[in-house]
Amino acid sequence: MNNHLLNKKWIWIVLCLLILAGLISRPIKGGLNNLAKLAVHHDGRVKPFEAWSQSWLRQFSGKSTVKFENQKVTAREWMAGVLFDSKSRDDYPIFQINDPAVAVELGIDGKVTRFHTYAQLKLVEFKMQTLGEDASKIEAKSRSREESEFVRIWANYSTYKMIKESLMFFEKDPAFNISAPELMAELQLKEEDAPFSFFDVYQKAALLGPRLISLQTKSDSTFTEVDQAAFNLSKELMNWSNHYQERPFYLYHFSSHKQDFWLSSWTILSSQLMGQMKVHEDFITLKTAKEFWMNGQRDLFDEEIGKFSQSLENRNSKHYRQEGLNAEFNYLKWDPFYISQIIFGLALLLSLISLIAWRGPLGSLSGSLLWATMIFQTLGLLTRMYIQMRPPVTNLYETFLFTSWACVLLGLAVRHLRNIEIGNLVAAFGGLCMLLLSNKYAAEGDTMKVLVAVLDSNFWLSTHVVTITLGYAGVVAAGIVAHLYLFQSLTSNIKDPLVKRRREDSYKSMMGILAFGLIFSFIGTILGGIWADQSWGRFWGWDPKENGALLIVLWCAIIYHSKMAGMVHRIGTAALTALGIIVVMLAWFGINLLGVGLHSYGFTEGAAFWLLFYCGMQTFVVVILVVWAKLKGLRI
Amino acid sequence: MSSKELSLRTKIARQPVMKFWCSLKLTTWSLIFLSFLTFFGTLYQTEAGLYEAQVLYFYSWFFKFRPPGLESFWIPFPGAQLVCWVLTINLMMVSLFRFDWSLRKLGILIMHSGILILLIGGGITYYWAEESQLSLKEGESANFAVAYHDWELSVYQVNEDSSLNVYARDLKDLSVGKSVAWPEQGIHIKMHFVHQNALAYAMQEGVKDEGYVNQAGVAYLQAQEPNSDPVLNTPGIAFGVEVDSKEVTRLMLYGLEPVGTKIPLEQGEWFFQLRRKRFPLQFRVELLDFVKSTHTNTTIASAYESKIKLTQEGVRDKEALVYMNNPFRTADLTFFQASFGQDKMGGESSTLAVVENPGRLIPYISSLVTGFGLMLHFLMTLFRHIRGLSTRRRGNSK
Repeated sequence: MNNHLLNKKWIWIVLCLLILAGLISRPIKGGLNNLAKLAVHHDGRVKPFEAWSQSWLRQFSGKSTVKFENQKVTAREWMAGVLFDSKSRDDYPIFQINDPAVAVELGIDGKVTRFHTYAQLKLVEFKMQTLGEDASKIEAKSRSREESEFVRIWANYSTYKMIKESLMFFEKDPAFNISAPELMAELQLKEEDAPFSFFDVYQKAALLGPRLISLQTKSDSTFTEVDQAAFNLSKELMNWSNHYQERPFYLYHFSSHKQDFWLSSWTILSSQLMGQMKVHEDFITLKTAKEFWMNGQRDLFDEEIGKFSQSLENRNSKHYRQEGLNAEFNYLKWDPFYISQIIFGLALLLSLISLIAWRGPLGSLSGSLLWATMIFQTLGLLTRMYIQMRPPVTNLYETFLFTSWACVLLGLAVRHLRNIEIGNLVAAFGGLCMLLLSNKYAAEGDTMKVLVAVLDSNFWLSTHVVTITLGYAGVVAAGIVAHLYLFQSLTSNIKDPLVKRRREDSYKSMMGILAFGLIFSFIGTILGGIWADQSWGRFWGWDPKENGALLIVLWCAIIYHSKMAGMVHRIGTAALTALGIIVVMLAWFGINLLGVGLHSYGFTEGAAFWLLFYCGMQTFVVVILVVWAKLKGLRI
Repeated sequence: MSSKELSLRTKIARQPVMKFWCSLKLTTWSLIFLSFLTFFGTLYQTEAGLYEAQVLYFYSWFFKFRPPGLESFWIPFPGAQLVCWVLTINLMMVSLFRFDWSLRKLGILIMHSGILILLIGGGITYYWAEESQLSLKEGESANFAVAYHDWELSVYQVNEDSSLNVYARDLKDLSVGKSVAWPEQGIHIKMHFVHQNALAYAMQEGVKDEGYVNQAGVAYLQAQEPNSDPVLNTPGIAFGVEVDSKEVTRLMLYGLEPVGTKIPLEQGEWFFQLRRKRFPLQFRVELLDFVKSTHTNTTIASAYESKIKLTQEGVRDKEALVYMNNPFRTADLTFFQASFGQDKMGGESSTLAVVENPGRLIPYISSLVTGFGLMLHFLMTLFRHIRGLSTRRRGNSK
């Protein structure tokens, strides 16, 4: 392939798109396809089992897979084990404890590590409960870091335990041993099947009923052995029904008094709704699936789950969008934003190398990768929109995805309008950084949560939120170019015509992107005011989130006006633009750390240190660069 | 535009006073001050709450700025009200005398005009908008809204048909030693004390009986430090009722009393009550139904919705639905779904925010103008740039 061919952009774009198409069409890792698509209700919406298990695993461990005995286990496979053979997952290190001192205080044995197993935590359950419950009585804002960890760990442990018990009714348990053979015969149970499970006995409730009625007229002392066994059995049924009546694995839709509910299997059993809901066959299918799982017959297990899933779909599909569920399954399979991160990393590397060597081909390759990823990201965003039937930004996590997308768009615009290298660097660096930041929010669990009442407006989400997010992207992208400009000014011979032209390109790109940021920040802020006027009756209330948006607008205005007033020159303007990233970060999620104001739905915990660290470092770097420029004799 | 007009503008702009008001440095410094106030005003909210931060940083002309962590040290600092006024005048002067009124700068001119409208609108809202609330249980109705944190001394008489003749004075206008009169009604009072926030006690041992009359049995009011959130304050006052400059009776009133204290005077029986300031409505509002919906299987609210009925003599009854992001507007008033409550018996109540704002439409107009100006300027610059770029590329290819 000659150099000329390498410079053909379309070749690279087609190649990149082919690779991405291959990634999209790849089969799901780890099998269990039917299980992955099973519809589960969680946090106010129906999602595929794949998303459900990932959101729990992320909540517990901050990751979407778990490593066990040097093997990567998918969330789906891990969760299948938790549900169908609960003890098999007791030694999986899924409980993340961020502070080693907390693990020590809880008395957890073993080496100091961030991840702990259920078996380890079970040994210190009482202490964990005491510390967790005591800490939860303190207002969230006033809790120390350790106290927050106690609350989080105890909540995760309790939830895990509840999930683990979701299908406990299939587990054979000594509590359902039948000591009297006569009773066993009466209940049509076979001795070779003993010990029995809750579900085995529950199915025989109709046969047990007459004997229990006859006991009502007898005193305890006159109970026969069979009577006593029947009484014990009914007591265990009652105890288990009361204890396990609510477990967070909601599969069945149920309407009562015009209200919708999603019920867990345990709720159906304990509320005796099985007959009314006609789900006995489904329970039997699930039981068979469990037996296959226990025998290690994964294909047969998944086949049974397929039947179960189909039956549920026939029953429930009127109450959720099956197309949305399928789209979410495919979205998780493609994982567009994870793949985008990898490609952005590669594009960034290529762009950096292209500054030194093979400028043409590497610049083209990097640009093509960025274009292809841009298409891939767009598909990802569109899929999310289709799943939720919402605009692209509905929560903090999605602001990062969208800002990443917008940074790439701006970078590519600069690439084509002004300068290839600058455009590539802005797109790759901005796109990558934003996606890396999004990982922190993805780790909190579900990234498509239902919206609180005040946000439930597609019109305002698609206008105000999208606009202000574009504003964030503009100011951040301008900040990235500002850094480039400062480095170019300080590290190169500025009298060299090529360097001079590149500097000029950087400066003009910076000012153009900043103008883009200012326009969208301003319009977004104003639209936010109008939304506030529609929701709360006032255009402006000096609420922290409003103030954050205003700060971005003011900062951009200061940059332009100080430049026009001759208060700063090019270096000063670039320094202020670089510091604009700090202003965006403070407005974007720094405000959420304050814990005050009407925008309480966006509060974030635990990011304060890193935000302050970033602000400090960023300011330090800019100050150093400005001082350096001053020493070099450049006008600030 | 003629060169004569231009020179006149330039001439005015060169006057020393105008030079100051047309200065871009003034704009920049004002923006810096506003950023500073916005930043520290936001931080201050975490310790003092929104209201106090608004009063100190944003509604003041000057204030004592205490840097965080250095409580004993302060410096005088301009408040946002002053800075916004300076910016408004600066913007007006720059628009009139400094801007380049050419087609090339049209976008900039339109954009700044929009910002000017926005600042003026902000001023109108700040000085003239009234905010109140209306809390109703299902089936209840009212023809007045009440203030969030303003109080009034209400003096009223009950007519034979149970209607009331009410005469009220803002609590803000009452201070210790001040005489207040309703000459037409022949009522004169002299304030003994006014507590912005107080706790009320019944008569108890050790408390000196000063002869104050109170319908609810309040005998002693203990002044409290006012809360940073004034909604939480409950005021208390005491005064003497005078006839011919002689005190005939003394009253003590507390903000939480449900009924007024009755005093027989020569002009008949009068009731005195300290209550939240009321704003009469032209119509009666009835809460027909309130619905709070949650997302299935969660406690996350998906909607709050109040169905209200407006009745007014001689006007057809009107029903309306008020929910989040969907206020109801009538005449000069707008009703917003603000809050809700549920009593122990399961009875639901809804609180509607009631806003009267003569400048309500100004932000909308200014947004359109500014947005249009910004887009116009940005697109004009972008097209100029693209044109220049293609010329440059053509030149390179030649």
